[in-house]
Amino acid sequence: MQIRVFLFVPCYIDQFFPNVAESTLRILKHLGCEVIFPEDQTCCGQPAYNSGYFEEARLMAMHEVNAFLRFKSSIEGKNIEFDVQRDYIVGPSGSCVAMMRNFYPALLSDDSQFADTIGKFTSRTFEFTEFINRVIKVDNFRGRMNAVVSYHDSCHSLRELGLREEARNILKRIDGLKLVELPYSDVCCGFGGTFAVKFPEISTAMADEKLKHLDSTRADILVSGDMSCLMHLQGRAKRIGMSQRFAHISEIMSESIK
Amino acid sequence: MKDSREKIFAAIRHGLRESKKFVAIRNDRSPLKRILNGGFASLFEKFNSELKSLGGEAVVFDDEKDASKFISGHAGERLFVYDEALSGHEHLIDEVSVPVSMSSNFNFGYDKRDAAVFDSALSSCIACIAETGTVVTSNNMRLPAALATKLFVIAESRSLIPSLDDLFKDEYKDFKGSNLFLISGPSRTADIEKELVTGVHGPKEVYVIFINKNE
Amino acid sequence: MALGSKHFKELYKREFENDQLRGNLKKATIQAVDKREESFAEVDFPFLQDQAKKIKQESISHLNEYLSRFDDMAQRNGCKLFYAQSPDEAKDYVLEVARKFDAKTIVKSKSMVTEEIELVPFLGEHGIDAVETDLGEYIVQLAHEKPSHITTPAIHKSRREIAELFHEKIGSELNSDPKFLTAEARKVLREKFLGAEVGISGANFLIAETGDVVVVENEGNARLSTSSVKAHVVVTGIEKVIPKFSDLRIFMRVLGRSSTGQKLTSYISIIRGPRTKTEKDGPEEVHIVLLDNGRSGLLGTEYQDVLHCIRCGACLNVCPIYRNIGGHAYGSVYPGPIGSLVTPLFYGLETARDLPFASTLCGNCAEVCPVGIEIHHHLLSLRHEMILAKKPWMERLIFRNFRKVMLRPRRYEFMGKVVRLFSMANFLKPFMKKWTAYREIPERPPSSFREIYRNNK
Repeated sequence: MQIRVFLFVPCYIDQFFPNVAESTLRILKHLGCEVIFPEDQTCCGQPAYNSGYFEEARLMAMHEVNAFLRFKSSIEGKNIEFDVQRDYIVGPSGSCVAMMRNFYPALLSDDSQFADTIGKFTSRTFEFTEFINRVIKVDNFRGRMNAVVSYHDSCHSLRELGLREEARNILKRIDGLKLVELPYSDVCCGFGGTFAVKFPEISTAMADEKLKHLDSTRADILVSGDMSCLMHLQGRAKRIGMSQRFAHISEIMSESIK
Repeated sequence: MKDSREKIFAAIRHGLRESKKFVAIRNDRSPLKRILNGGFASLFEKFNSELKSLGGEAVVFDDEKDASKFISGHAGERLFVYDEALSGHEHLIDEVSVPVSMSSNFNFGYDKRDAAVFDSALSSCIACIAETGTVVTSNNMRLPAALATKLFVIAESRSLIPSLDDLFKDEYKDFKGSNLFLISGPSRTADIEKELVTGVHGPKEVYVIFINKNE
Repeated sequence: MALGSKHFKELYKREFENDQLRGNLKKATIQAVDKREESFAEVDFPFLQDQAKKIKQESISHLNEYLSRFDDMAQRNGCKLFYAQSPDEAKDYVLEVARKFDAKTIVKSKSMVTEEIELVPFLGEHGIDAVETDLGEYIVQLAHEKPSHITTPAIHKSRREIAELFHEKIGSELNSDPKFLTAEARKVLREKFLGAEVGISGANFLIAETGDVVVVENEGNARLSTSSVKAHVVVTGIEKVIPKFSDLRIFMRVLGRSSTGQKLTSYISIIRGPRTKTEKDGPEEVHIVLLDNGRSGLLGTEYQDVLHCIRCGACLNVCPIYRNIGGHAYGSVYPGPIGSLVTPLFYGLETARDLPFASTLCGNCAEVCPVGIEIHHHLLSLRHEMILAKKPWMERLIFRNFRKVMLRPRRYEFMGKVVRLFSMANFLKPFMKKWTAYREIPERPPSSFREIYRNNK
């Protein structure tokens, strides 16, 4: 039976990095999935949550869960509803998926309407690289690209979701791609959401440290599963005149199969 | 004061009234990835390697006379000897040529400065721990060993135990004396720009001497 | 004592600008992290962390029982116990003991709690010279500064600065070799040890089963401070109790490694009581001052596990924020990640409003914490509590509107288009300035993903 994926597109990717969502969609389709994009989704609520506005985040979380679990639409004449037994929710962001999987349960635990569904929601929700490794099986992917890259693990991916090998397994499937590990790869890049604008000097110093390590690898591209980190690092890199490219792993995968 | 004690306990009880009570199931297994065992020879090798990496030194002698020569060769200008150190090793300081004072010559109430004149001290120990190069002491006079620059510790081969798991047991829990003092190599600090300096307030040189009597 | 944290927003900028401080900190913390990792290679850290966490959970969830047991045993061993709800009570008692022994000089080894209650200045006001004998603490004492790190208090000072300090204060020749400076401190402090009547220490652990006080150190100053005196006063927190003697096999394996990458510190004193009748020296009296000062208030709350902390400093060493600003920026005795919890929790939210936000919530602290405190999750909860207590009106407005927009997909799409098509910088100016001062903003794509998706359907 064909794997059916409900694509979760984080708000900032939807609005500012649509190519990441496009690449994600493309790869999932390439790997044989049926992909549906529920248009009611907006934002996972993390910006509000991380700033301490739990009530605002709760409302957004409920909306977001419903956008998937209550999805009902007619696509090409067929009635489609989210089926918790077979459907998956996949998103190209470790940070947002961590919000959903690890923090939604506590956030929504008081609400009787959600007590039941939240477990179902989290059990079907995956981060992109995680999904490819655990559900699709990474050996089904093969690509080709001549490049030297390094990989940045976002703190949420690493510590909230426990992901590390998944992205690397994927990159290994791209012939011609050489991966050089970043020194001190487990140190935060300094984005941290509103932290980046609340404590910009420190945020920037942390970016500079990360970029210094990137330089030392001599990689042309810094790849990550989190566009939020990349947005911050890329923004700083451009300001200080670095020429490396910053790309989401889905983009690299998409380019490697062209 | 009694009032504060009551208030604090009341505050604690109040805080915990609805709290989940937790009982830890202690897993007895050793946290060491490689378990230390074997006879004296292999434990000594580990002990010595640890102590060396800390800047100390461990030696084995079959003969008290050789041990005595060693002490003589490394001792400073004045040696303080804890009487217990000679128990079972009457000839341990025979070869020592520098002035020696025995702990039995001191009584409670002695002038602290009289303990500060010794640059070397010879102590016994109740255990040595191979895992960490540690000696466990329980002396009836603390200052000479704490103030000396060179510390000699005399140990029996049977006092060498494999690990901290072997020390923190009932056998050692009921020690006599006011304290147990664990020494792992020379005193040290890195408080200035993280640069390591040994010989701060406690001894700078630590020698652990095993007498391997054929028992 | 914690009031400095109110000024975090000013303090951190000033500290951040200090290049020498940042250089020292970076070198020191990276070294500590590398050494920590190296030292944990031969032991099973997850096992130790799990056991340590569980033992502390047992201890804290039964605190009244274990503290009571410790009390019984310690008294049986001949110690005198004193309970202090507040810093003042603790200070008054220590002064009383000092006066009983007519102490003019007191020697003191490292104790966070004594800094928390500001004991040394208090004793000074009463004519007692309490000398810090830990080298780093001695240095900051001479400099009339506060420590900037839990285990390496003078990390912010260069050797040159220390040389000049010693030259000025104790008449040493101007020589910045750490060996020389250490020897100078040794000379001065030896005199203090030999002349002191009372010694003060902290406690790393209090063992309920035996009534023992455990003190770890590297220099030998704690041994001397607690041995060369007539009275030894332990000043510590009520949460330091652990159930059993054998539990030390777990804690001793994580404390040194987490703190400085050592298997064990050079010295561990397991103190059972005052000198026995057959001992020729050692204190005649041992007093144990147990301080509450806000600790019991954490019991029964979600922050109860903050009381598990063994003050190893590992969280400080891995925190990239701490690495960039140092301890003084936190304006509190307890800096870094654990300090950002302890300061508002012990002293009140209003004392440290900014601290929980000075973090990216990366979680590195929780990962290395030997007793498994989920520091980053607690920081997040504290953020929520801060917002409940006092909402900055503009931010509140922004998030309310953010939510309103996000609950209506059409409105969200519209706002997204507005932000993309019109200049982002103008629209979100207050935030943008702080971004654009250091970073470029991403290029604005003409269409959102959902627009592209719709067009392709």
